[in-house]
Amino acid sequence: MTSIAAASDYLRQAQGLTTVLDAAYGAFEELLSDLWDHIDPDEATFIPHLMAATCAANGRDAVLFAPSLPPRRLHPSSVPDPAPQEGSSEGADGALADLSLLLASRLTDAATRAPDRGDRAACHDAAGLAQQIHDLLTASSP
Amino acid sequence: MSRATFGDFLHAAHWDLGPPAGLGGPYAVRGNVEEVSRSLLRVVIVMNRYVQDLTVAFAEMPTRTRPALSPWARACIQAREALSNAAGFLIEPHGRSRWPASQAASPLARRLDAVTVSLTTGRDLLQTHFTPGTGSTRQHRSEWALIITSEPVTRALLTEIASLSQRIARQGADLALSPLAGAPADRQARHKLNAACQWLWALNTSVQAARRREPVAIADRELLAAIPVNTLPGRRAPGVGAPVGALCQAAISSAERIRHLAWASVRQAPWSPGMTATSLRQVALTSTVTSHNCEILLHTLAARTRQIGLAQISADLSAAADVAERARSTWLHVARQVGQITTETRGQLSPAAAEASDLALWTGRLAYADPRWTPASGPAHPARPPESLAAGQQDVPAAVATVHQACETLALLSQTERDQISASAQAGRILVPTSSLPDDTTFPVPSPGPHVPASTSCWPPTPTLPKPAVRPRPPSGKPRSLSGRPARYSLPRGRPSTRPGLPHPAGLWISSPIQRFPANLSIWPVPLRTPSAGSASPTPACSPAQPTSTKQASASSSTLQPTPNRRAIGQKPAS
Repeated sequence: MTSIAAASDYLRQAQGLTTVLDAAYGAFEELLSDLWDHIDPDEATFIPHLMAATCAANGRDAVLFAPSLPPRRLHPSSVPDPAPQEGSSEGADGALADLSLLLASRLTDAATRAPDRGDRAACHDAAGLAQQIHDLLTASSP
Repeated sequence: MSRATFGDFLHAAHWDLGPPAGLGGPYAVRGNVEEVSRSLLRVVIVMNRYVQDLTVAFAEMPTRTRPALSPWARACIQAREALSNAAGFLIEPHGRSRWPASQAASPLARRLDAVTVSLTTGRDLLQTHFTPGTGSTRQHRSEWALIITSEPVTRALLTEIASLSQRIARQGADLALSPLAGAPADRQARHKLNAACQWLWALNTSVQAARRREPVAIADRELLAAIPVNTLPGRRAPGVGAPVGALCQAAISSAERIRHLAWASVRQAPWSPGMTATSLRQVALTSTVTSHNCEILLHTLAARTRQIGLAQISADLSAAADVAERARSTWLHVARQVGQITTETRGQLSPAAAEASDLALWTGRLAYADPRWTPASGPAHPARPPESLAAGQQDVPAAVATVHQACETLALLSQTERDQISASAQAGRILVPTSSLPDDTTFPVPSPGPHVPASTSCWPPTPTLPKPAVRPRPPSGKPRSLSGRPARYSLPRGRPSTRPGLPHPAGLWISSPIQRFPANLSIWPVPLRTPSAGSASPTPACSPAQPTSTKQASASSSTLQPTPNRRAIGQKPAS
């Protein structure tokens, strides 16, 4: 299982605001890391990927400021980082787009349920950024 | 709408002088000598201020290039003396106001008053590019300040002053030397007016002598006239399908706006709300895109100039494209790095960062064939055909100027962003993830104990890492997790955040000086958290002196519980 798949599973199964935030934080980190692995100035997707990476960093920061984010990782990733595989850019884009869409969905849901105003704002902002990542990745598919 | 330029007021001053009043005209037309003398005094005072500014300009030049004994330096000194002497003949001893309540009746006096207004406004325009420094010095507020204080432009300005002096002296002397029958007995006043005009002639003679030895280029006078008022240029937003000329204008306008905003940001305090990680990322992102666009544009221009037989220019443009590619690579590296830091506030974009998006858009619309191109556009966007970018040789300069303006802007942005990051780091606003630290980094972290009050920190002063223990973080790859910890952020070394009440990210707080980030991190411990109001246990439950390794910290992290009052976290590092 790749780290993206693990992050997706954890996010999908997360219950409760604290866990969702923890999973979302990890998912943004995974997105950021994987997007940077795929940024190639010689590729047509260079600029959309770069913009998506910027959104991922901003989204991670949005979650980071959520009051209910636990100070320690609840579910540390145990999956080793796979080496970037050549020729899998489109497939990787699809996985990243799926994860960002899942992030947007879970965070939007969390934003409506969170009792704390700070959590609601953080989830709302992060959900918007996750949606932007999804849009950028799907628009950049050739 | 274009900005006012110095040339507007310079030309107005020349125009105000108009044709000389006829010598044979009636007294009322030619003017009252005392009235003209008062008006002339006002002009002389304004001119003297200009020359004083020029003296400052000479003083600001580096010693090795200061033309202390050059013809123009001498002319400047002589001009100042001439104006002082002229004023000496015109100042009335009994202290009458230099600014009468009513408009002057004499045509010449009115024209001189108009010249005074034009010159005063023109000088005010030039002064918008400076702020008062210590003593008599001036600090630059814009890129034009360097031009205003440059030797060619100071020469041009002195030439213009001399030109006006000559015209004024001629008209004033005409009046002084042509008494009319029936006019009041003003022999002494005429004598003084004539003497003052002679000094204006002397000023012009000094400047002409300097011009003969070191001529002033027409281009320098044009450059002087082109100096704009230091204000934010208007935003241009051509629609979809706009012609190349309009896109060039939009890109240049955007570049000027960014530079104006970047200069303004330099004067902002390090705790400016616009200095956020969001802004830093936006600038890095858009600058990467703009550099990329410039590279494409330069390749296209190189191809076009090769087509029309400009081989040398084509080679130069190709070389410039290679440099733009390197700039893009560097900005890309910056974008990656700023993705790993954050600030204590987020979300707000600085004006320069917001404007930077426009430059990326307009350079992209120029670079790509798709008239609807945006940075978010997907792949498969071919570059604009060379003949579309520059139909003929006469169209090449505008496109090259656009790229030049964009690159100049990126250079300034890189400088101002770096300065802002440094200042913000000093103010304790840059936070770095602990995950960016090497795995074998040893740094002090709080050991068990949910509440460590800031006032009773248990951590020793900054332990500088031994160099072998610190290695640069690889430029790619995942942020490393410290034994299962999430990437968390830390306060920089140095002063704490001085803005109480700001929320801080939860988690582990360690500082690092941004100057050495990420290659050589040093660390500064801060309390993990302070007790919430009414919280018990002011005693830190950690070892007071010994730094704890990250591995040890990881082992103890399970005892660290979320605190209900995170807003107090890390606001004050141990000292």
